[in-house]
Amino acid sequence: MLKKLAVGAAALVATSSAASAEQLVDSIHFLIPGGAGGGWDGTARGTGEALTGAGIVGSASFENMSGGGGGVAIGHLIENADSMDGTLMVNSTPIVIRSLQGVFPYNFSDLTMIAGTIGDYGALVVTPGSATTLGDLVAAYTADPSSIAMGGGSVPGGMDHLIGAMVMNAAGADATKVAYLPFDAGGVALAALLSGEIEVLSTGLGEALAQAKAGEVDILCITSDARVADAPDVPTCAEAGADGVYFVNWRGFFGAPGLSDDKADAYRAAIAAMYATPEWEAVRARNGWVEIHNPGDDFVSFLENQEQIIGDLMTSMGFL
Amino acid sequence: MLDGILTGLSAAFTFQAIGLVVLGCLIGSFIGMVPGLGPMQVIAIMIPVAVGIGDPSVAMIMLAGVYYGAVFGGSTSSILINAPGVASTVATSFDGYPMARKGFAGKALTIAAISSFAGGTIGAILLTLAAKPLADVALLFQSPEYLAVMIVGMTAVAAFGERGRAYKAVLMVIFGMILASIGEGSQFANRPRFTFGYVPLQDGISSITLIMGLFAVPEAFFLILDPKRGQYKGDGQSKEINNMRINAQEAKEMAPVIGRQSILGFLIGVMPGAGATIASLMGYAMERNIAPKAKREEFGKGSLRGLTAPETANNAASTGSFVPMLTLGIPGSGTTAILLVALISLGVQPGPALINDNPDIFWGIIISMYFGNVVLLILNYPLIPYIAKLLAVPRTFLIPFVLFFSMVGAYLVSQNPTELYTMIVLGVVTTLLRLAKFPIAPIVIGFILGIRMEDNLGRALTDPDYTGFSFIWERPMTLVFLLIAAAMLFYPMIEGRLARRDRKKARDSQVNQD
Amino acid sequence: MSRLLSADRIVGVILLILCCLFTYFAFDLAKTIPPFFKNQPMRVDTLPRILGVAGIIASVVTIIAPTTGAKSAPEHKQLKESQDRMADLSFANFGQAKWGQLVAMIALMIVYSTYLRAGGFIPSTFFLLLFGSIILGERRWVAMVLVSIIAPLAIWLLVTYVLDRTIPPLPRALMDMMRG
Repeated sequence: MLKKLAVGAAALVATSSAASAEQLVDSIHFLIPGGAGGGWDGTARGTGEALTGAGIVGSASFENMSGGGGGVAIGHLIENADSMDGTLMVNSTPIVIRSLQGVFPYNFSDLTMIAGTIGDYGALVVTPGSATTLGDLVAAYTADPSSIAMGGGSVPGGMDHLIGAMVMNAAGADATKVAYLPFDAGGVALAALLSGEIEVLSTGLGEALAQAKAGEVDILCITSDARVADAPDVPTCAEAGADGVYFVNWRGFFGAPGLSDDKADAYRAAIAAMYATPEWEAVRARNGWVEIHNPGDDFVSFLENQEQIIGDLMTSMGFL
Repeated sequence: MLDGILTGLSAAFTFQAIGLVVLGCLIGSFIGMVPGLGPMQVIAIMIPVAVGIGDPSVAMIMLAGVYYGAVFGGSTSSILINAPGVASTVATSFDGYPMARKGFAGKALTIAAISSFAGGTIGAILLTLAAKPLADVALLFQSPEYLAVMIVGMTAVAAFGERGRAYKAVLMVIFGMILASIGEGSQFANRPRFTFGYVPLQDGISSITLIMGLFAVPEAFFLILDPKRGQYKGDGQSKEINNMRINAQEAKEMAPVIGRQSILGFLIGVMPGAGATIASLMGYAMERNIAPKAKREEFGKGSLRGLTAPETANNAASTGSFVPMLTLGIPGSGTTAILLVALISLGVQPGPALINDNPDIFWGIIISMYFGNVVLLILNYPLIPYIAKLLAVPRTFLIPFVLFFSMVGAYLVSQNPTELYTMIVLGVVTTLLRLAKFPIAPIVIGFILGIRMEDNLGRALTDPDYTGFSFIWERPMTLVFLLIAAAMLFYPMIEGRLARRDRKKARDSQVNQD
Repeated sequence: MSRLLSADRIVGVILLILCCLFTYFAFDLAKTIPPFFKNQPMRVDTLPRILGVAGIIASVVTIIAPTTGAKSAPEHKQLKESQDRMADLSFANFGQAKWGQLVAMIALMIVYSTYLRAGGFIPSTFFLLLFGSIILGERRWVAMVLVSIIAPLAIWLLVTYVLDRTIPPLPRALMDMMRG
């Protein structure tokens, strides 16, 4: 409660909490491009909590600004860049997809890329026993294309559809012909899988692991470059026959355009120092996040690479 | 089921939950008494608070308290000043107000409180029994069935709407669906629609903003336009609340009415589209028709049965309308549409999976209904005379506050002025629609169902198992629901013809008697 | 004449115009659809097209349908009367309504919406409540000023500490100064 008061009061009076680590940044104002309770909101608030709790950052404040799938906040950050050197905006993979679709008048490269902090891999799941390998699924599809419907939690042409298409293409099926049924939440999509409405579900690894643990689904493959410790038996998609598939749904932080290198490096150092703290571990474990740390230039090249891959796929699928 | 009930109990019986349900009941009763501000408006204003609480089961428990409080507050103003806050308590004023005028205001309030409590509690018991089996059936549903059930809900809105004005209800449902299609709310709107490049509109109209704009803002506008609105419309005398007791004979007369009307009300409430208003009117009409002749004469002049029936039925129906909302994620009434918005804002997706995935929330809501009813009875009842005094808040302070709360509520969703502009525009449009006597609740139903209908229709059409619309006849459950929808569409026509024939027969027999 | 120009019909005509515009834009959407989605059975414009046409039909019916409701059972008549009473204003002549107050209040709401972020929550709300009461004819200055100061403070504290949301309480310039 005291800590909550302190964080809240930071908007009025700068306070400093008892520092257990060296303080690297005085204060950070987190701009959250979506409403309270969403994934972006949780990421920003969790990161802020860990940074201030560990004493790396003096105080953190948060501001929700939803609208335009994040476009309003990006516009705000760009238009008021001069007064925004204390602000970090959280964002994730959809910023790349939406920039490519041209629904934003902006692109992620207009911003100062601070660091990617956490992420999730994609996964294809089926009901237990309906297909044991990715090869089985592709064979069933090739034999009768109308027997397979793929579901996902994103709109057609969105992230889950792209992940599914990426895997199916690489495994030798024509992804433009695979019927894709969008669902608006993971629970609904799972119910559709169980009722037989869809045969395969494209989802995130975090969600898939929880469902597999409950015995509700089998995971066919995941889009990481190596097997993950939580599920050592599950093959990567590349191993399962979808060559070269690698996809991370990342979350990370951006600064205003033209942010000074000193400031940007201070933020990067603060985030890098955060991973070793127990405060971060508590937040991470509570949310089940996977650490995928991509600071500075790594983040820039990672994003450019992802934009290239997604852009090519979207063009070849006819999504653009 | 027992596990579930225990889970629900543990969610409801925490210090925080009890405090919030008490607070909710008080806020609900107070605001619900202001004419025009009924359960829908009160819940709309309280959604941001609920979202702020964060824990969905606790938040819903508070909203349930608000809901029951508001329903009861509406009954109180119907009885005391003949100003029903909302349509569902109109029937309460038929006999409640005459009873109060005769000097039995206290007794009328007691009857209303007991009937509401009994109706709500019996409704909650029926809901407890029905929820699990219904959710199990609903687990078999695929997109075509959802689509068909939604079509049933929409036709029901028209079929049970005001007579002779069904086409207005249909137009309002379409209007709501059109509003929903703005932006990219639907899964099949993979590009923003109808935003004309205006970025803040891309997410579409937020449902909280819509509800504020449709319900809270226009009511404030009406209060501005008409300074006399919501003031005493009767003889101008304030009703002394004196003796609140009822005697054993009166209790005995109430019991069978409560028994019949709670079951009837619940069943009517379960049907999508037919909510508390229909249930209270049907309950009133039924009790009048079956009452012995001497008792029938009393109806409209302060009849005990005439007050018990609508109060029991509307509370049972309110509870019944949770069935489609909790098991299918489909709102059957304006109020449950708003509660659905609250649930989704809290990150909960109601549907058949809810009972298994989030038993604490599912059972927490149901338990909170029992709880809300009890709290209402023991807490509000002695406080009624004092709460009623609060009705005297001058309009010069009340109106700015209603508008302020609406704007803060909409602003908290996104902290974006566009939400506020949207809310103001909707408020003005709704005011015009209400002046022309268009029903407003169908807009919310159209808005909430519109996006879901588009998603389910899209999935059904995309599914390679069917060719085009072949899911209609390839899936028997879909076919059955669509036939029900068709029957409902023709119901007003057939009923109108029957009513005409009845009247003719009655006239003929009168002629014969003469 | 008054029969012909009922409120139903005026609103019906307005809705008809809106539905026509909507239908035009719904059919206009097709040219923005990327190739993949053009061949899908459900397109971004499928439902809007249906809605637009259905809306036009329903508004035409509203315009040409008789404005008097069908006769029905007495309790329905009572319901209708009560609903009319709730929806309607308590006078026959629209000229008696406080249109000036309403327009002023809407203007105040628009100003509040526009300057809420820049002006900060507490001062903006102070002016909203104060001017809201003034517009409605309240002249008890002490009560007005007290309410307009206490309420925004209380709500801000509630929003910040109970709801855990951040709304900048003071004007942005002032906050920047305080932050140093």
